[in-house]
Amino acid sequence: MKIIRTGTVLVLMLIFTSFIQADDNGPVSVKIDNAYVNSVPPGANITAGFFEIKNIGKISITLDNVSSPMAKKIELHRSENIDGKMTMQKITALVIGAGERVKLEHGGIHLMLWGLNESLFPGSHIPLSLNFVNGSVIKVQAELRDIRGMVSHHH
Amino acid sequence: MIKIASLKTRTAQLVVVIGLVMSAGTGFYCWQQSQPLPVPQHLQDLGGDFVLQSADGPLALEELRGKVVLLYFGYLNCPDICPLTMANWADAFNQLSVAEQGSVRGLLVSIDPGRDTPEKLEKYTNYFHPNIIGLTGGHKELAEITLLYRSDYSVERGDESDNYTVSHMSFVYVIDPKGKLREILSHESSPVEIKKSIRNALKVKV
Repeated sequence: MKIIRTGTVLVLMLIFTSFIQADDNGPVSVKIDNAYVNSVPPGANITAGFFEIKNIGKISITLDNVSSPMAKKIELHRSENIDGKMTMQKITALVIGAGERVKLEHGGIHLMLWGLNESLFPGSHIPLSLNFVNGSVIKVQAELRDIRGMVSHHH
Repeated sequence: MIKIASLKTRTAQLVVVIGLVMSAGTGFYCWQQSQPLPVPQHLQDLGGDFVLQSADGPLALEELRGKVVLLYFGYLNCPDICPLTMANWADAFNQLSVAEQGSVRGLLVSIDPGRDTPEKLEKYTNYFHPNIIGLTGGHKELAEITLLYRSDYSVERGDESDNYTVSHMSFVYVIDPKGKLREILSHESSPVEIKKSIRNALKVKV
């Protein structure tokens, strides 16, 4: 009886474990590159941040929000051209499929940061927490870059 | 002997003819290079003069005759494409000669007068380049001016807070020294492309 009961528990545990994995739980496997935040030009209260994220895991993951002790508020936004006008929409969740890479960039998805700590200067590092829906948190250091240094290389 | 002489004469004549054709060709090429590209048909009826407020008082576009003017409608709390456009302009201006820089101005017209004062705009534009001037006005004037340039904007008030955004068309208008709209560039235009457009518009003599 005892053996059977232990066996049942083991089977249940196995089922439960696979259920968890299928439901996008457990630590996320991601690779973050080129994380940076633009300096805030005088007169403005906000600025944008960018990074590239690659989901190197086998299941899709969902980024819920991004936070930092150096900013009052951070939101994920998407710039879109709607009827010829550039419009910004708030993104509530960013789904990244298995093996997929998402690049935050100008004119596309970006971080919108309010009230960036004023003691920061170009070259400083801003700690960002990427908070996933499954509870995982990935911490990255984003470099603060002088906003005047960004230029288009589009031809 | 006679045959040789006439051959020499013929050769000399040929050299002269080739020389004339070549110099005419070079002359035509130089003339062509000094002429601006024609204004595309769809821009013929666009643009026009306006007066808006700068930190130094009212500024009329007319006061900038003789200069190439880049015009952009944006706002300070636009985090993404507006500062990118300003950085592209500054980079393009810095690639010009001192003389050319003296004949170029950028105008950032804020379509968010509720938050952007001329003083704030001045700090912002000076941060990017001293040749960029920040302007704004009332919504009525701004609506009239954006209509002249067939641009458009709308304030998106999602909630009552001050964190609203403004949807806006995002083009760079290149106005020549005669005040005529010559070209419309995308906000993604690189500094090299902007420099090319400025140099083209500088060929227009007042």
